[in-house]
Amino acid sequence: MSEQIVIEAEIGHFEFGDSDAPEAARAVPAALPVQVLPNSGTYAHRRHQLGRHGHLNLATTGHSSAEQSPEGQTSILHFPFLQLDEELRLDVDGRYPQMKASGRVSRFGLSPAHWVADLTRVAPNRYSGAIVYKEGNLTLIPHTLVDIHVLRSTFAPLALSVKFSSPGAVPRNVICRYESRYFHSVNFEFDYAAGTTPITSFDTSSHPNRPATLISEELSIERVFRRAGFDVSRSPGGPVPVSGTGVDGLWSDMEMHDAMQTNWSRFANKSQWAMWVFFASLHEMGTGLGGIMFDSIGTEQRQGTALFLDSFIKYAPTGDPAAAAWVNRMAFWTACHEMGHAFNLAHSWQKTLGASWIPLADEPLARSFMNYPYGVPGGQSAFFSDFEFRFSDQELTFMRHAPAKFVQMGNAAWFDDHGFEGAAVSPEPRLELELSTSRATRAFDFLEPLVLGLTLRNASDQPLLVDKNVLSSEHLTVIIKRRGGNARQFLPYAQRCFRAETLALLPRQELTESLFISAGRNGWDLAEPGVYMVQIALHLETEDVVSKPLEVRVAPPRAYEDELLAQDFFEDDVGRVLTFDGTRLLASANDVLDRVVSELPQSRAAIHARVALANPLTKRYKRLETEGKQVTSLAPELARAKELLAPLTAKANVARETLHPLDYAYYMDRFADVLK
Amino acid sequence: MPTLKIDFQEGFRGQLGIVRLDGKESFRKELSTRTQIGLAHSQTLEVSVGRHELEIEIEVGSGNGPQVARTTLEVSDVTYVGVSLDAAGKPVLRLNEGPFGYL
Repeated sequence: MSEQIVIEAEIGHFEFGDSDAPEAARAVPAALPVQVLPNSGTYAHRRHQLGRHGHLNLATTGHSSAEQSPEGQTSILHFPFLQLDEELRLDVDGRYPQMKASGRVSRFGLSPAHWVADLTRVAPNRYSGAIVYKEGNLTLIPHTLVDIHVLRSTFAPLALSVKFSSPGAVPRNVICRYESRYFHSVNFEFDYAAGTTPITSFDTSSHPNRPATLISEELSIERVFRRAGFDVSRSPGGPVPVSGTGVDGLWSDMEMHDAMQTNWSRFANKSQWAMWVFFASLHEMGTGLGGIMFDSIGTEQRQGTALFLDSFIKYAPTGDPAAAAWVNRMAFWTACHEMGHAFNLAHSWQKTLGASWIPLADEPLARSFMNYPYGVPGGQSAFFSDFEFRFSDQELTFMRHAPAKFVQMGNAAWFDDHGFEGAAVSPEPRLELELSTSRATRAFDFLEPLVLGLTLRNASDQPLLVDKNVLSSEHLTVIIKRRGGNARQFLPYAQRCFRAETLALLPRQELTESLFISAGRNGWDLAEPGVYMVQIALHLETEDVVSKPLEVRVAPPRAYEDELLAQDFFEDDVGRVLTFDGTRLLASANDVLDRVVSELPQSRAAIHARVALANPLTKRYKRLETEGKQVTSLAPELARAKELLAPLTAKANVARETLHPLDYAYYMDRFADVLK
Repeated sequence: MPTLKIDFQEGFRGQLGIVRLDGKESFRKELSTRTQIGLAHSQTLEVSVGRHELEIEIEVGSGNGPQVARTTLEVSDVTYVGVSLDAAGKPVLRLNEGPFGYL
């Protein structure tokens, strides 16, 4: 029997009469040698599946697919660029069902939104539940509930209909075609240092200490990840010359990174669902390091992982009844563990560290690939007696349903190397969006925060109604791409909600706004020296407007002091303080800004720092004390504020240019009383 | 000569760690845990055979006082000590019979 057939049977994993099996499957006579696929998997509704008038020809199902009105009538979509692309991952049966659905919704092929819903089975092949997570362009997913109905033949799903709804909102219905029983595809390449034998499978019956219910099989790494929901392919691996280690024969992270670039057939400076797994003898840290996801160098991380077969993992406990099997199991476990890190999984006891995509709980007792076997009560013996060679439920939820950018190796932003080139813009746009800088050279100093000008112009010969705040960031998708790097989506620190206030934009009339884009929730996207392309899409109710790309340049540091200061300046807190024009709470950020003012007094960055330091001093400042939950009030410090703001008038031209004329005018008005 | 191997493990995010052995400072370093292996730094100290007082001080900054953990060790060969920070930032010491392993 081929591997493929074995996998299909195992992923379907239905015994007839199994309560988890689809209803249709349970109706099939048990004697028939058939495969029955579960409802779980990936479904999609893609624009390219649509014909000229928005109809999808599902020849195999007889269903048409397109967005439907609440009455169930299919819309005739004359404007394909208005349609949504939908991907939906249904996770309700099969291996380790998480009772979730997740989706990715995009329009124009840019600025997607991501949602996750908790599901309950409410009827045969029907599931409903609340959307519990949203991320990205939230205007695309205003609803809070989903109701999913799977349409299937006896043996396999064909499509599903999903109804998005929420109280008081117009529901939206979509039909998605079944695409795969998996949630994502991924490719593995197993390379090895010459003289080392990679271990990529394990006979689960070879060691007596195991769960009584554990299936006896030759379990491969690929199968572990297929069971986690991935359509795994494998590139041919091969030996890596030991000369890559230098004279000591021990591998450093840098040497492995170099080896990855040289030897991995799929290496590329971009995010991709692909991973390099390297088997070697020892890391330079010695026998104490059994494996490491070493790829934390550069911008595309988590692509390479390694394990060291001559480290402590090759020593079975004294007296172990099957020492050789123990060693093989430990090597196999370590490989899956390190590969889990490349999927961005933390150790089981570290789940609450950092910023997780959803609130997570530490799982110090978990029998998961991500827990240390010798770290649980009872040690490795207790761990393996209850270990089913799987990831935990919350790890599976992450791998299957988190936005791909969090999971995919390389962790690059969406639309790499494409920008907005794939956008289907209106052939006769009525509005134009133009980006500008405050200087003809479009060159910015190192450390200088970058403020763009946005101009929205009525290019038609008729007045147009637009929202007064149409250029606020929640309507925008901003893509920043450094030359030679990946495109990243700028995510502002705050989304504001304005009351709609319509105004008429006359022909050739313009709306203007400024946008601080150096730092956001993605970090400092525009900081390192280099040339960047910035492009923005404005999402309106009936159409999208895409700007032309704007090229800007960030100059290299002028002195060592600039580089030294940059280590502290390009921190999240400093980005937030600059964005929100100051704080009296984040002392460390203010310390950095003080240093910019004192150490680089002539720099343009110092002008931004002065504004951020002065602004909270100009008025009484309210501060919420987390302990005691009281609001305290700090008195203004007008003399200090005036001193800080002096360059706004003394160096007016420079200040206007670096702050951007729009913002400069705003500050001069805001600080008028202080500057008198 | 016997050695004391101190592994700074989980929870470090740039804090300054200071090691004092029998009251004398023998090591200080800013520490950050590499979360993918759960290790910030491994420091080996040569010590004499016998009883020693080990003190680990963690400077947390921001106006808060240092956090300190102390233990008495009977050293005859290689002694392995793991130091992690708990949720409150207090160092927690763990003795191990053999070397720690990281994955």
